[in-house]
Amino acid sequence: MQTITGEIRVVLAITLLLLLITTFVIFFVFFYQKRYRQHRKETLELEVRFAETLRQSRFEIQEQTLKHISRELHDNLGQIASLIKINLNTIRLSDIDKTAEKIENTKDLTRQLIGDIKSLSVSLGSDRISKIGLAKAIETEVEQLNKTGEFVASYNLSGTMPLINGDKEIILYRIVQEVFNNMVKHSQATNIDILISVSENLFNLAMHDNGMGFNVEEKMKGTGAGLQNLISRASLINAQLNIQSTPGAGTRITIALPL
Amino acid sequence: MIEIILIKLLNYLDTIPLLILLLVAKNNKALRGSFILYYIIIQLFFNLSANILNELGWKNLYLYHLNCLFSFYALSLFYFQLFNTKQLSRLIAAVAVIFTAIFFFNIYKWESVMVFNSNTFGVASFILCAYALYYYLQLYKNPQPVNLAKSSNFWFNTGIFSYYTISFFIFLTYHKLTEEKAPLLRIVWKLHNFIFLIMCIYFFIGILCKRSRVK
Repeated sequence: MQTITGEIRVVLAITLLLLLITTFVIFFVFFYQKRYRQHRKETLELEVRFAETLRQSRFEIQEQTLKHISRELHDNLGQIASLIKINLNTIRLSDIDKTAEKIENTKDLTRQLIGDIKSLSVSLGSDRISKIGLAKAIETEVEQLNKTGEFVASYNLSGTMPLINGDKEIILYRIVQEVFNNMVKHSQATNIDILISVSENLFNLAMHDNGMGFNVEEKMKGTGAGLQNLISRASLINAQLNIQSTPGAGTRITIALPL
Repeated sequence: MIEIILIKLLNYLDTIPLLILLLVAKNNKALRGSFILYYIIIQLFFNLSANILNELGWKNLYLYHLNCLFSFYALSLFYFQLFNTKQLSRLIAAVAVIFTAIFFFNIYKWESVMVFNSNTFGVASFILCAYALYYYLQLYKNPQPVNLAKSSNFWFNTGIFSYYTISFFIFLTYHKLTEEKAPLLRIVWKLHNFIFLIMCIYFFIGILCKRSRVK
């Protein structure tokens, strides 16, 4: 009966050791690549979602702007133009004093009309937010809320507005618009406050109303697709959106964006 | 009877899988002109010849010398094609020339064609392991977006890496062990054949993959 000598044992042992090492190397390379592919896939998906959200936000901002223009044309500019027409139609050259008064009045109305058209044309630009900045755009929204006469809206900025990436600004602005829309449509609030506070590494935007509030958990489970959409949009720009609401005690929505 | 067949089968583990690989590769048009295919043909030719001569009781060790040289050329050309950069191509060509010089010097000075060529097998294994590891390193440094499981080059490289790394110590010591007529030496060569089978399995997976764009 032959026995395995020490030398052969060493050869076999080292060969088995090499087998283990090579197996480890092969698995490492294989799984490293697999993980890389998975990560790349996720990144690509995120990029696609971001681009889609951005496109959707731009579209929704345009829609909102068109609605605003339509309302302004009908309720404001149309009214002023009608008054101008009435003034001009009722001018009687025989009555110099009254005519002078009407012409002065018409001049004022025309000046007002030009001013309103100018401010309306500003809101028409597609790159308005990048031109005027997020803070100014939000302030304009607040002004429009006040103009309706149904709300008392306030806007406060604490700190210096940081430089935020243009695409992120658009998505943030759209989130704010959507929150305002919800407050106007569903909250039955009379006061709406918005506060932007900027610290060294955090941009914080808080919106608060004194409306009827709602049960957040129930809303999220049920017909809260809009709220989920807000949260999902915020997460795409790496921000955290938090909703606090109690039935009868208003709603507070905060967006925290790390800088 | 079954035991004898099994032992015979183990002896032919370096031949039968190659035949199967060739049959499978025949249907894969993408493999035409591939140096892996040449490598398989070289291995099949020399291993089959060596086994037949062994059955006849004739000396066959000079065939292992030739096998080592031509296999090294085929695999060098495979990596030459795979790396495809000017610097590496030059390096591979230079290494092949140096290896040829070592090969003949070894026959002349240390291991004649009548003994097993541990030195040249050892050197060839070392170089091929280095090429294979370099390929892995490239994959690590520049991960590819394609699925490696579908990359034939990855599996071919894995086969080469497994066979030449695991067999390295066997190659290196086999000459000494045969000279000392170590008992149960055949176990070592059977283990080698088993490792060869592992390489063939990786090659088999690689052949089943479509032509890979991974470089």
